[in-house]
Amino acid sequence: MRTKTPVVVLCLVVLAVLIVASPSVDYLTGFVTKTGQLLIGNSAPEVNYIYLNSQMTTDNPAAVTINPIENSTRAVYLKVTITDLNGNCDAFTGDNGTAYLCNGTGPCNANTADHTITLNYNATDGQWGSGNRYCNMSGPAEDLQFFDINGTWRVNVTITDGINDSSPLVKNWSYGELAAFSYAPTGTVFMGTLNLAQWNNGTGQEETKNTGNIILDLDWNATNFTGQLYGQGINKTGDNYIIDDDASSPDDTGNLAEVLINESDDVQVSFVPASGLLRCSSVACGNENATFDVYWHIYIPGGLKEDTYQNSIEVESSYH
Amino acid sequence: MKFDSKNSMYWCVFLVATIGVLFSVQIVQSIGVTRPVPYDIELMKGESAGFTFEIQAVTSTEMLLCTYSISGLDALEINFEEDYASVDAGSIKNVYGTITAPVGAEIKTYSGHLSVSCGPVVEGTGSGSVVKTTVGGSPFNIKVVEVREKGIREISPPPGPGIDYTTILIAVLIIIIVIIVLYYNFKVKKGK
Repeated sequence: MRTKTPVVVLCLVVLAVLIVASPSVDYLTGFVTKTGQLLIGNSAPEVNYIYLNSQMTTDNPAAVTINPIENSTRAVYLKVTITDLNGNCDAFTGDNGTAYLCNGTGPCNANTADHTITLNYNATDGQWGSGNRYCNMSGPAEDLQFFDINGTWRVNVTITDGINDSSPLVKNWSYGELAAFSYAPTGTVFMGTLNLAQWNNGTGQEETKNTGNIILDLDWNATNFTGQLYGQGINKTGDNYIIDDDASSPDDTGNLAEVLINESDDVQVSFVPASGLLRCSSVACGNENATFDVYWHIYIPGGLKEDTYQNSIEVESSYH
Repeated sequence: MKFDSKNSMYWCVFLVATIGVLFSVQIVQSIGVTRPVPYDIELMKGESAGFTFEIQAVTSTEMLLCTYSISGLDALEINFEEDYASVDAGSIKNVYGTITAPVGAEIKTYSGHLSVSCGPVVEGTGSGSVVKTTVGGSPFNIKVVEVREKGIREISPPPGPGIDYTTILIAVLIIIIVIIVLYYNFKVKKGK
């Protein structure tokens, strides 16, 4: 009996210690409480939709067409909608995305891009829903040139939250065809003061330039000249009025052989490089056959009064 | 040089030979025409679809008057919203049209080409020199089919300015107030 008492006391002490040392075990109420722990990792953002000039892009390039502007640039505004499950997409303000615009249907990435746009959270359009999980992102306007190639283009957008990148979203769109050219940018071809009873060569120099993104052929015709004061006329005969790309006649020093304007007002003559009037390859448009000069050689007969003579010229372009 | 009768004759001949004849030709500076959108349309017999294209006179300093036509689609009915377009200097004009496949149209693909001719708008008299620039050859294909596989895209001109009901309401209120004031003044004067 004496030996049992210390054993019982010892057991009680051990039990007491266990109770004190294990606060999560409530032996008295029968409940068990444990501390749960889990980790939420960073969730990569997701690109949902891509809009170009407010038009939603799809896999079909015909769904969105953006047209060039002759001899100028067309601003393209890109907006994307994204999902960020971490709920902080409103903080994507430091180069948090990139969009590549690529001509053609091949790979579209940093190496092949014709234009690159940096994207950030669009504070104006903001976010929607709760918890900053759905946001609009956009970048500055990107200028597409009038000579950029027409046809199917691709847009590839990737968003980053600073830790993980989204999967790229690639869609198609179309850059429109623009047939355009300029002739005599000053508005007037002034052939100068010409001499009677002789050929006047190399007059009225003006530049012809392709101001679109289509290779063009050019056909020319013209009417007779009429004096503005006395009404005297200078009629075309089929061999007295010539278009050329250099000032010399009949010797040709330019690329194109001179061409006689037809006697009939309705008959056009082709005057354009064999390649057609090519697209410019830069804003300066220094590439061959994207521009060429036009000169006029004209024989003025004798017997005309001093006057200002005018006529009409029609230049017609067509796809090369 | 002594001015004698011989020299006088020489100068006379020279002047006649070199008398100034001025030549001036006015030219439309630059125009651009975009391909119609959409440019590939599927229609069943009796159906219609809209299309649009741009006439660009961005670098022109003159207002242009432009006409347009589509060749190669004679079997179909084409109507433009306007028969011609005036394009302000430095601007872009959207032209809208509708194409209809008549009930009797043949099932086939029709290949057309859009052509746009522009010249300066001549005002008054005296100039008399009008030069046209024509931009042509823009492809436009219409496929008349038994059963359409593609949807018809909605293309129509933007709505014009609608009725501003707020302005009308304000105007009505002002009129009512004026009538009340006049009536009140009239009664006051009559009372005196």
